[in-house]
Amino acid sequence: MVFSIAYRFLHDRAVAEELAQDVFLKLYRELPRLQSPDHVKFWLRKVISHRAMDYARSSYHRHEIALDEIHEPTVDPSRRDPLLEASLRKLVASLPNEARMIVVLRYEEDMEPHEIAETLGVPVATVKSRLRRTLALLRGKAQRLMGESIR
Amino acid sequence: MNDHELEKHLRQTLRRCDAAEGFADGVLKRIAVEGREPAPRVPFWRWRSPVLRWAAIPALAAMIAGGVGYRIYERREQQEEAMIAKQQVMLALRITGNKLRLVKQKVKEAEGTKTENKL
Repeated sequence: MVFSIAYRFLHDRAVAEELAQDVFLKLYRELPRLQSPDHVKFWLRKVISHRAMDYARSSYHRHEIALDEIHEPTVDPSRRDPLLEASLRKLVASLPNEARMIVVLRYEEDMEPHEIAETLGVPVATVKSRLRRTLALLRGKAQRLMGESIR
Repeated sequence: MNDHELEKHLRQTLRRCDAAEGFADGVLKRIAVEGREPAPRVPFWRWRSPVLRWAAIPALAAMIAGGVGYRIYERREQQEEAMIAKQQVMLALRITGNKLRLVKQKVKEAEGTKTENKL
């Protein structure tokens, strides 16, 4: 979960692993203060989301992400459309930080908007509207891309 | 592509992925090396070195005295400024009063002259 959020957000395996390790180290220190497994889960999602966004926000690291390098290590061709997935990954990677994290938490973690709002510390209405706008944007771009590739 | 299809594709594209095999070992290693919490801040009266402990007391006292002294100085300054302002207002009122008295006197004198002329 922790690594996956960071990886889906940053598209950099090494950085995602480093951030995830940092978060687990912090968890080890914070464990006495956390009250239940659910609290731990919430805490982990919250901390890794903020860490990943902070990392992406710093201009120094922003330029290290090359969209062309985004690839999936294991793809099962019988069930998936690798071309569409690669396009969608690129499109998600091009979203602004907060919108990208909302999409990752919604579709990777299968979180509800109110859970995302709590995790990121933003109003539920903001999450819902961002999600709606982002989906519309992604749909338009994906259709354009698919149309171009078919032509 | 409708919303439902897009969401399905997004779930597929962003499906959960695992870290490399050595990840857990890496975390455990880091916990072993860096896992201990940093030492909590010790208040000065519990410092081990008696020299530092005794040196901290006058330094702290000087800081407190400095702070209190500055507040007293600041208040005195404010009081002096208020006093000067009050004196200036009083002077202005006194001058205005004198002028009014003078004008009143002149008006009275002028009225007296008019009555004498009529008679």
